[in-house]
Amino acid sequence: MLKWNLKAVVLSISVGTVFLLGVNAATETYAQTQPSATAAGRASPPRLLPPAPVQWQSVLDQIARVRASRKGPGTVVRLVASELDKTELPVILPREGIVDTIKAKLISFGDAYALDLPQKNGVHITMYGNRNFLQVAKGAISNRPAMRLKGVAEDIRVAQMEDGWTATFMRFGVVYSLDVSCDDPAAPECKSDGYLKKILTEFDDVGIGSKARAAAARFKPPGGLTKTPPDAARNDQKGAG
Amino acid sequence: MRPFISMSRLLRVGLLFVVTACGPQTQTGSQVSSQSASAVSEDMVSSFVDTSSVEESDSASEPTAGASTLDFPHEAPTVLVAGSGSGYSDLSNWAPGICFPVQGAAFANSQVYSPGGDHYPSPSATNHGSQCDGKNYAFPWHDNFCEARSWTNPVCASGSGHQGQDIRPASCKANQYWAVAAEDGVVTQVGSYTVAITGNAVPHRIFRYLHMQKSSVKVAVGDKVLRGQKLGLISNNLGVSNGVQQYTTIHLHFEVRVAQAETMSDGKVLAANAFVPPYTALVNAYQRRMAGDCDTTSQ
Repeated sequence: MLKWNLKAVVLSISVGTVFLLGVNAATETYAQTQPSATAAGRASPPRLLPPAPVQWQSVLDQIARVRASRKGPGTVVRLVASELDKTELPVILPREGIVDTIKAKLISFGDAYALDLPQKNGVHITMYGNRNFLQVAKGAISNRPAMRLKGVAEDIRVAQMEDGWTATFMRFGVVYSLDVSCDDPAAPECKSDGYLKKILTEFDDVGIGSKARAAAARFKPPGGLTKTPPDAARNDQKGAG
Repeated sequence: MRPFISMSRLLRVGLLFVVTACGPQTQTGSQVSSQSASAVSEDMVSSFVDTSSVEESDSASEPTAGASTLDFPHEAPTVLVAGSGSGYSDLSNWAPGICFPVQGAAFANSQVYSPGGDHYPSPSATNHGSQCDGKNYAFPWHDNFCEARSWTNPVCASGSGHQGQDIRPASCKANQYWAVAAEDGVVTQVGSYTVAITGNAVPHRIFRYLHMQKSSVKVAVGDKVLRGQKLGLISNNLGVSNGVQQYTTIHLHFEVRVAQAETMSDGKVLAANAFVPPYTALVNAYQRRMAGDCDTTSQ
């Protein structure tokens, strides 16, 4: 035991010495006018706003529209019902078609979620939904460049990432982000924002689970809901994930 | 008793001896104050005694309440390498309390404007130096959020720039040092060299980690992770293009995204997701790490 403790002490001194020599070497040439690191490190976080209200009337209207136009139950059947039931948010989903939903995996955080949609050839699609916002100053968002896509009602803000593209937009009072990332930096899906924009127009379906249905039922707009929360907005069949 | 002492304890105990032996020297810089050194010394003594007599009890699962900090040389947030971009002005701590996302010692700095980078010492230079140059593995840290890039980034003064912070591990060796979870959360995306985690706690930040060794990634989509949990080994992996492995320098690219909201003049709320500067949060996390918070070395 004593032998080990001595070894530990020697090793400790060595590690500490190397580290502190590095610190000292750096500080010798380091400007003394540096702002307080502690002050910077303890900068106050931005203010967290109360969870944003979901615009349930818009959600229910959209569900009714999509149901009228599609033939099958939609991609909501790919989601594990228990996970869908955990989120209070409307989960926006792609129509059947371009986006592969076979391996769709929903991860719920209550008032946020992530939907992972792995595609072929190392292409990854992830949709995030969240209604917990941090307050920013006037102009911080409205001054950001935005675009409109044919068939999409909202302003879309697109950015290139290190490994793909992302689009963020507000729908039903919730913030959504659609990420496309590629294992191959030269993959056509990630070389431009074309693929991202194309698939974004596909995300016009909506799935809601039991928590969301309950929240929609509590929603009392002036004049009442024009639609009732549909029990069959999702299929209870277990999906891939 | 576990025959192992964690890195932070080694570091702290080592600092005790060195600070004691050459205390006046440590006062020459603005970074290690006599107050912090003595405060750490007391903690180090008890830690060392504890380590030699009882079971290792460090846990990285929760932030240390009222965590103490130990300072280290770093440039201020928003101060980029000269000539590397117009920077940004937001000094907010967008991810307070996170676990520092790299195991052990680490150096936040520029991959592009430092030795071995494409713009060092200039884009047209014929010799860009070596990424293993000692300058890259030394203090002070440098912010490189908003460093000049073509990627849209509305937080940057120029409207485009780097969307995260690059962090080199303790030494210029690939596949040796772990990237670890910044918060308790769930893995929400995994690529061939990327991992994304969404935090359990509001505001449900999205943390993205890039350039890990593919075979070392220990998590899959849907996995719950704890603060400080190992994710993958930091490497120079930039994916495979047309069957050919692509490389970057050995570093972790660490990103934080949050949902932000602006109240418009008509009272309506306009919200969007945004990449936010992680540097301030990382400085604070490393200060806490040096004082023993989120010690992951022994995991």
